[in-house]
Amino acid sequence: MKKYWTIFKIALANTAAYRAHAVIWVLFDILLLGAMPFILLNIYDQQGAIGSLTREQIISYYFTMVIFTNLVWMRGEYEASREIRDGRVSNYLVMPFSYIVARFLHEVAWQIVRSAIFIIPFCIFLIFGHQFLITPSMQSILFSPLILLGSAIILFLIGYIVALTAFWIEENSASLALLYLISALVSGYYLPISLYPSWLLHVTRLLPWQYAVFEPIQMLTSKSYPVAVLLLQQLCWIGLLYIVYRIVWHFGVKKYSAIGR
Amino acid sequence: MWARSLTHRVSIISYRAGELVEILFLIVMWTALYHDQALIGGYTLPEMITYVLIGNLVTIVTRNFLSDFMAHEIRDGTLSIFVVKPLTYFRYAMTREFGRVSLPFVFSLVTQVLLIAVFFKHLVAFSSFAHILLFVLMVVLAFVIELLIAYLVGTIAFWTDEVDGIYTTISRLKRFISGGYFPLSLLPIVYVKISLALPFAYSFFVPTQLYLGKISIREGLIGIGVQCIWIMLLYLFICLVWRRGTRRYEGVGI
Repeated sequence: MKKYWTIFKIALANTAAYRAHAVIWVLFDILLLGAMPFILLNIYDQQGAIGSLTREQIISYYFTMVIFTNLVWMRGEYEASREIRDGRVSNYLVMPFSYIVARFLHEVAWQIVRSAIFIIPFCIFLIFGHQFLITPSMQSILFSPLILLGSAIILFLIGYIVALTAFWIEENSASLALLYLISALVSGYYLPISLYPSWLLHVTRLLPWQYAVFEPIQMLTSKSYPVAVLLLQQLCWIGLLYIVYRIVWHFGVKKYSAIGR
Repeated sequence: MWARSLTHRVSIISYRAGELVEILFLIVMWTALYHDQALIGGYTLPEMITYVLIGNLVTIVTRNFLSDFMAHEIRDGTLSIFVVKPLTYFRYAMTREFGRVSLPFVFSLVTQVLLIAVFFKHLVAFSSFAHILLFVLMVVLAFVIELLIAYLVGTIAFWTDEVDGIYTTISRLKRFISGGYFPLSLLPIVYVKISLALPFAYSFFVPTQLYLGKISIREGLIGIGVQCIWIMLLYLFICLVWRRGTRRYEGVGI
């Protein structure tokens, strides 16, 4: 455990040195997600409703999404990809600790720095916009740390698995960009999934992002929600993604030739 | 240049797939939002679909990958070659980029033309030839502005070597500010005025407004004036940033 604690402290120090990146990520999320309610409320004012969403639900949804992306949504796939491409992953293959755990700790450190930057805009919104927010149930509040941890692990595993394509594809930045786009579309990042046409809803139900992003946000913006069901769904996806990771890692390491080292 | 580009076929396919998915998603999203509604923010559904397709056509024409390549050259130390040669990196990068974007441009154009053909019945025709001429001129100037912005973004690599995630974020931010996800006129007026004062709106929102005839010739000419001013400002800013960046440059990797 001590070795992982050391890795975490080093990762935190490194991440704090790149805090300008965190500022840009936070700014992007706030700008985009801050503008989306205006668009939907514009539509809401004209037709009185959007699907089954009320005005408060729309604002709560995007506010919670901003918190979610800054606290939970890890985006470490670029760094993991680069480590494989540059040959730096060789260090981890010969050392007595797990690369995936080390990467996860790096991402946790990154999220801590990002959350620290996000605190100020978060407090500003709470002061001026708290009347628009929906208070979730006590059960949802109590289980939220567990659910958010489950979300973080699912999103981390998805990004990590795509990053491992660097074992086979030298220029996998396009794959990462495609992942970024698909995850934003099917997770409800731009628009609540409940507004999608029914055929698209069937597609999103088969993918992990709904249970990592949209459903936890529904849990936090609803008066009542079946939390135990969501927890079980997340555990199933974590198990499945972990199996996929093990298979991809096994074949990837066999292919790996440590170019650059 | 084409032969070099074709060695990364998976990248080409992935990027084209991403473009297609994004455009189709936007059309699906707007169709869902127009479910019981004839007008949203003054746009009918055909106008909104036209906005998405024509806007993305403009994005394809004005797109480049200069910042990525610059970042690699700064990080790898390859830039050192240009420091000692009698050839300015700026001219070299701009000239090279014309060749580099040509292949992705051809592939994307084919994808976009196919999409336009599929949705042809839902498209709105352009308003007048004067609007179209201004539209073409605005797109040409937007291409120059995009090159200059990419060059500026590429210089970030002088100060940090962790640029991959940042470039993707900046690219998404630019798409948002340019009206790539939704017409900027749906936002409060103060956001629209700020957006029109910045160069990004002229790479998506304003050209499509010209195409749809939602702004007058006079407003289009003002927009072109704003673009010319931004081209000069960006060039001056690049000279300043480049001078400071090359002072920091260490040629690590060479």
